[in-house]
Amino acid sequence: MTDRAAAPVAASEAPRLARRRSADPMQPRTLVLLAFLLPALAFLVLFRLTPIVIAIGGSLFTQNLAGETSFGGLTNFAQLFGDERFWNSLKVTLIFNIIINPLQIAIAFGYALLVMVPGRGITFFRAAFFLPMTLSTGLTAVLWNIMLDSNLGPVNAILEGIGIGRQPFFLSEHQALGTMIAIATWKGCGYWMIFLLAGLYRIPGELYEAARIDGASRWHQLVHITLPQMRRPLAFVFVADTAINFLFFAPVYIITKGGPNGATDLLMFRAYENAFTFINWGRSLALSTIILVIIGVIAAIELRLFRDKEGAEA
Amino acid sequence: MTTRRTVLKGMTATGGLLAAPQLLRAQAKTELNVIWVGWPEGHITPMAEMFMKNNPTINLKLERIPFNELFPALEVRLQARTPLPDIFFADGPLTASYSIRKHLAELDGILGNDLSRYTKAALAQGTYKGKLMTLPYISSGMVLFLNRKHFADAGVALPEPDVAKRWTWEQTLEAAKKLTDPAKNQWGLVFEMADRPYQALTLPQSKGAQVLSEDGLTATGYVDSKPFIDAMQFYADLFNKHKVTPTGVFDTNLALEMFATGRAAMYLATTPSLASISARKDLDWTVAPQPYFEGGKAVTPTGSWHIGLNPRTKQRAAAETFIKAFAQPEYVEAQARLRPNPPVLKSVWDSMGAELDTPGWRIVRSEMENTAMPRPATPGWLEYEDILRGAFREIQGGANVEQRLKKAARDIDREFAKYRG
Repeated sequence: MTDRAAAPVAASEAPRLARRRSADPMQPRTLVLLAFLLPALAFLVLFRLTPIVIAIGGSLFTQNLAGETSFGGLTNFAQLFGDERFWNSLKVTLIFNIIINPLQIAIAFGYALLVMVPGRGITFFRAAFFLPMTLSTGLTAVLWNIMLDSNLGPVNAILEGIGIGRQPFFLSEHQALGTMIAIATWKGCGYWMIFLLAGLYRIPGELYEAARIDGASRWHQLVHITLPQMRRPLAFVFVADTAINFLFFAPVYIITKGGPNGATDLLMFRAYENAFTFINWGRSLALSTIILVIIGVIAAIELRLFRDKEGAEA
Repeated sequence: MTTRRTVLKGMTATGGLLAAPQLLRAQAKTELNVIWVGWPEGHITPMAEMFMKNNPTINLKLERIPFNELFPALEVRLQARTPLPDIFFADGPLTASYSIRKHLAELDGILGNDLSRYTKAALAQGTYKGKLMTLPYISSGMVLFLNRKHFADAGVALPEPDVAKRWTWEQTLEAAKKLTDPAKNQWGLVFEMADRPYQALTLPQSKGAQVLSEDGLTATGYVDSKPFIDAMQFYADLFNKHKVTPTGVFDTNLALEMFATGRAAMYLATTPSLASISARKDLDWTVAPQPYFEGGKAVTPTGSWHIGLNPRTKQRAAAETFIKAFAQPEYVEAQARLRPNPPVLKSVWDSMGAELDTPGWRIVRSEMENTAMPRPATPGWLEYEDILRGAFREIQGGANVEQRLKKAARDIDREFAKYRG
């Protein structure tokens, strides 16, 4: 009887308790929360979402030479899909990303493992790996363009000196994309190393200690402890690196202009060229929208892959 | 205690404070935003100072944008269709493109009808549909620079600085072969603008090619015509077959440096190089006219910088003052003294007679009167130039000339479709 009477009382108490909790001075009120979140949300909407909406909306419009716009539906997309150069750009962009993303992250992970263990002079190596990141992309492009110049570049002088012979690098249809990947990797790896290094430091030392007691080799520790523990940082680095590399632009603009023979004709360069050389903003925004969709799809797949594994492990 | 005097003092002070900003505004100078091509500061600042001294109520806010970045930067600014910049420097062949897109105000009404003082080629490039849209400011011409020592070492006789005794391209190639020495990393010939149609188009034109249709809207049948392909095959062979010209030298400063440091025996370049090379006291050099193809005709490039007035400017009166000033002979002459480009006013050629009486300038003056051919008049120059630059780069890199030019022609025509509609 007592129990039955107590139950409704407890139920009626619940909202009151909730109200009391919300009145707790240590619990922030909704308005306060909003006040703190609002500036960030406003900037997010203004600088992230608005340009995306403008790009998607603009891709459905065409602009005449006097700057007047009119609704064109999917005209811009239809023009792109009927253009052989678009398909070449798409192919080049995908090849570029399929190679560069795993390559950069594998090297960055290797760097992180190398500089993780404290030791003499380790700060020098950390700084050396990170240093290329401090150079601007434009400067990096100019620097490597000079270094790899077929006539005056020191790299070719060295290659000739050791008997390999001069290489055309950016002037060759077969070497230009690979060279572009190499300089982007040189610049980017140190940056991603920092994120992965932070992730490595978060792995509890006890796990390695227990593994060592059990007789696990370094390789087994890497495969069974380090890599599973690094899924979250790796997921972030993969998604962020993919987004950045799909937007890779400056070295192509500065060095190759998409050539030779379309070998480095990445979608971002094509979007730029359409807007500022071919005076076709609608087509440029359509390309930007396509890049956005590709990045979104690939990022979702990457997150899904990492999340699935984490779920299975849990 | 508040007296009447205190109240009056307070009122006067308040009135003064309220009126001060108005008075300051009235005294403030009109500011003109000018986008200038990124020449050395010494070529620009004295001109701006001269204008501001003569027009003390106008202040120039200059923005120098490097040559390679100027065109994309202008596209961004002009496409925004805002009042800024008030004034901008425009490459002559872009006059039609900017006019069609309403980025230029007509200048006829500002300058009046006395335009006969301009050289014919300069006036043609600034005119669209019979109206002067950009003010011709400086022009350009080209000469072949020669390293005397390399010629002597190779036992090759120098061509004369005489347009009547101009070398053919075939002669130039034979000389370049003898002047190229891979052991010394010495090249026979370098081009100042190796990938730019400005320079390269003169080769097919010398073979008699018409580089674009009469209406400026069709490339197929012109860019891929037989004389065009033949000329560009000769050009490609300089780089790939005969290896007398280095590939990948697309930076004008690098090309100049190659000649100035003795890495190239011949250097085909515009007149500003006359000043740069004259400054190298240890270099023994001379000049000759640009070569032509045997059986063809002598063609040299011309056309250069014009000044445009943004039709959306909020400082129309000051902008018109700027245009009127920079059309005056004293401004054109002052600029020509600072930067050795051919003047666009006939009178300045005469007033600077003694200074322009050198072998290099004599060649240029003759070329401007007889062989100079402006770049084709087309509203799609931006697209035409960009697509051909890509093709010329790849032709230097060993691409099949005919296939690459056919592709370029198709690409240009596709982008020209918007002008035909």
